[in-house]
Amino acid sequence: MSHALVIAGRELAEKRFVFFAAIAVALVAVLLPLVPGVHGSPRDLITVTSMILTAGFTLGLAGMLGATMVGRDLSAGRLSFYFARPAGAASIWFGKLAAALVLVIASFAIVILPGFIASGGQLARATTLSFPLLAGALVVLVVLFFFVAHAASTMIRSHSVLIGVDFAATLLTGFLLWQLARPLIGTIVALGVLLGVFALAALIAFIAAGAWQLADGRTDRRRSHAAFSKALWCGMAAALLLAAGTLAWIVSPTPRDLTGIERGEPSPHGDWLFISGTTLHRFDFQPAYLMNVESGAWRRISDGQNTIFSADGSKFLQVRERSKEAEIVIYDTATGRTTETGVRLTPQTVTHTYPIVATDDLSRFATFDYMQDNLTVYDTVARRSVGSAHLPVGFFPGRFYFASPDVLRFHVINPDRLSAYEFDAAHHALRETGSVASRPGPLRVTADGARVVKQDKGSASVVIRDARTLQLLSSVALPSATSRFYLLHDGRIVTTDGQTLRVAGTPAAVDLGAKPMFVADLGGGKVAAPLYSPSGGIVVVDVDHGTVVRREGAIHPALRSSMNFDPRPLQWTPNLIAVREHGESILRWNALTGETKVLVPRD
Amino acid sequence: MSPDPIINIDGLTVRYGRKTAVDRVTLAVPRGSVYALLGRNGAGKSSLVRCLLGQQKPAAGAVELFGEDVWRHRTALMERVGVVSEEADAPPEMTVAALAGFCSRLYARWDQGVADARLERFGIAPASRFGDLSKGQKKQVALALATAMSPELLILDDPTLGLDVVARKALFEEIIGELADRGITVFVTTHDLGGIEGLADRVGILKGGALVVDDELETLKSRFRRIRYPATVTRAVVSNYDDGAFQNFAGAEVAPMSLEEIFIAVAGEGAEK
Repeated sequence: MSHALVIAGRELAEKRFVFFAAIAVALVAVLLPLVPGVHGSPRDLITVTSMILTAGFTLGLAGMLGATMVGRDLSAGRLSFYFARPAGAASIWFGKLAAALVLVIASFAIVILPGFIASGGQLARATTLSFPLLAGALVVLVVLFFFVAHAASTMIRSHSVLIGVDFAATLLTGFLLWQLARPLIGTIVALGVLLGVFALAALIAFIAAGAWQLADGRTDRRRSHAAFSKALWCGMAAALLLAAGTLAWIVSPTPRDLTGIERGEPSPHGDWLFISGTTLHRFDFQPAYLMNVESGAWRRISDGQNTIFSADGSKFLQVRERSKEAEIVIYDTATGRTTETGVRLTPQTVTHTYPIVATDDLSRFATFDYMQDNLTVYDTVARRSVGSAHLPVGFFPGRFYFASPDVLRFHVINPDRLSAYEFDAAHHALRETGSVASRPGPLRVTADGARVVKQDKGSASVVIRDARTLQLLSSVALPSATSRFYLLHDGRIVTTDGQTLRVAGTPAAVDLGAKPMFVADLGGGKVAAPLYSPSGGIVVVDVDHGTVVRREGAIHPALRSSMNFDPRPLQWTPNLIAVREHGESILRWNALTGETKVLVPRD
Repeated sequence: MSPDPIINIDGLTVRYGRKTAVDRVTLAVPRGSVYALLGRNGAGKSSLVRCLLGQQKPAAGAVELFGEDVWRHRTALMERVGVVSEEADAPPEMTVAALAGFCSRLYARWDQGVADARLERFGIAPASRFGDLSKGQKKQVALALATAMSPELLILDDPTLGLDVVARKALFEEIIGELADRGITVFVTTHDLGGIEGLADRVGILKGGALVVDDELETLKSRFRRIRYPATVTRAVVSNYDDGAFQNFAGAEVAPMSLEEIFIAVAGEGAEK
């Protein structure tokens, strides 16, 4: 220890010119406001200039020290000065390291001082960026510059063919790190933890490699390089293993560890549930599972957006976001096999929503690219585009559906008109199939896609039209102009006003007890209405008889949380996937019988 | 041979890639003796010295100082070893006084008085920058530092390189002689054969990395004779001379040889690889 301090002192004495250089650079910031032609508040000028110069000087110094601290003495044959004395290799290394640390910190303090004084100690005010983030980034970069410069200096100065091995090892390390980071792309904290663990281990590897370089390489340049590389790459391998262990731990939680459900996508008529959410101690990583709600068996799968199950639940389509692209894949629920469709979209890193609709059997799907304004139909079996149409900017309404496997239909609502369009992918034809005078207001499409139900804003009725031609078929009165309406699969219309649910055309009214979030068709004349209530709860209503079948408090349905771009109503199964309010168990709840099956118990 | 040699080298081999710089060298230096290792440029002297100082790991063999492996115990052993290296390796920007101050904090048995006295005798001002000194002065500073730490072993790698005649004489006669008289073991590599001849107890000659001669100086000198037959102008060098064996060589002029002549006879043939 004492020898390390002696060596540190000697290194500091040798490099004391750095302090004078730092003072000179600091003076530049002080003198800048005096330069003719320089305008602005002197305090701001000094502060900002000081911060910029500090970053530049500190980084440059770190690189210079890293490149020369050992490498120059080694190549100049001056390391023998230390090795001919009773100074251990560790003392030499850590002495030099300590001197470099003192030089960098002291230089930082000197150069930043004018800015600190000028800003009254409020440097953070000089930037709109996060000051702790900037400071942290500078520290990371300084450490990186120093050790990378040291490594490069050692390798280059040895004139050894080993540098080829180093280059290959660098590429391999980068590749493996990228592979480790990929599963966490999309997270911030979890990815930061993974990279932080690697960076910390890599830092230790760099420090240990430097110590071993001097312990085993001593004054021999090539042996020094060999010792450094051996220790560094062994350390990097350990760092990668540590990162791999961290990754394995982050992605290891089971459904029992779920603390909140972010996405729950039950298959409409199958036994499957795609579920994704937050877990204990895994930061912002959200694991995803495919669960068989009958058997309770689960499988860990990649997280994805916009899950669309096939009608029979045998497979689902998902968008899997990568760093620079989002890929559409199809997952087979029976085999667990993922098939890439080859379709890549621009990743939506903020909204995570992608305009995609599919046929019931997922043989075809269509996407709309907001960047290119292209509407495209793909064939999943042939793995190719069937046809694509370029739409005028701002023309696409957002919701569309397959009228047939070849034909996409969508409706455009202008201030005074409602128009129907069809894109025939087989013939690459986009045409308007109908247009009528209309006012803005909600539009729904029946389950068979044959009719549209439109409410003009302020009207206490809805009109039912042919979905293709928009020819008027009938009109149905609503309780009020503010009524919300929902279509059942059998074509009936259910309305809600506040907490009252009615079936259009009948006098029966059901008091739900609270305002519903929405109304879901369970089939057989039953609907479920999850409530906006602090305690949660679902009310099941028999619309045929206008009676409440069941009230279940303290549970929330696991909703189809991905944005649905298909305007047709979903047919729900009575077996709802729900979360119990207290205890947070995930369960299957039969809305008709009240039978409950716990899928994921909570300890 | 002393039962506890200060330096014990056994089968030392140093390789640089495919080139063998030191080839299975075995030698021992008894306590209190002066050992002169001779060899032409590139003979492997510096490689051997680096191994001796624990700065280079041998490809094979063992190097021990004071009975301990020098590669493994370098730090502790250097507390007992004074070193004057072939090239001046001290930081050039340091003053002589700063160098002495630095060394004084590394060695437990530092005698500043010795350093000051030697520097004064060499006429080197403590305030001089090391980088500004002549090659010879740098050697003298290194020598002053090496002797101030009260060494039990002094390793001098070509210490007269760059010294003028007077300084060379002073080095050999005053310093090495004085240290040897005080029982300090001295291991010296040098090209100055005349200077070392009067001091060395034992001489080794490296040729092509191999130790071809390792003998007491007096024994060595007694073994070598130059033989001349005036009638035939035939000349020869005999390396296993024996008075009894040669007494019947009538007419031959048998003359003793200097260390330099012996060195030339042994190491002078052919270029070193």
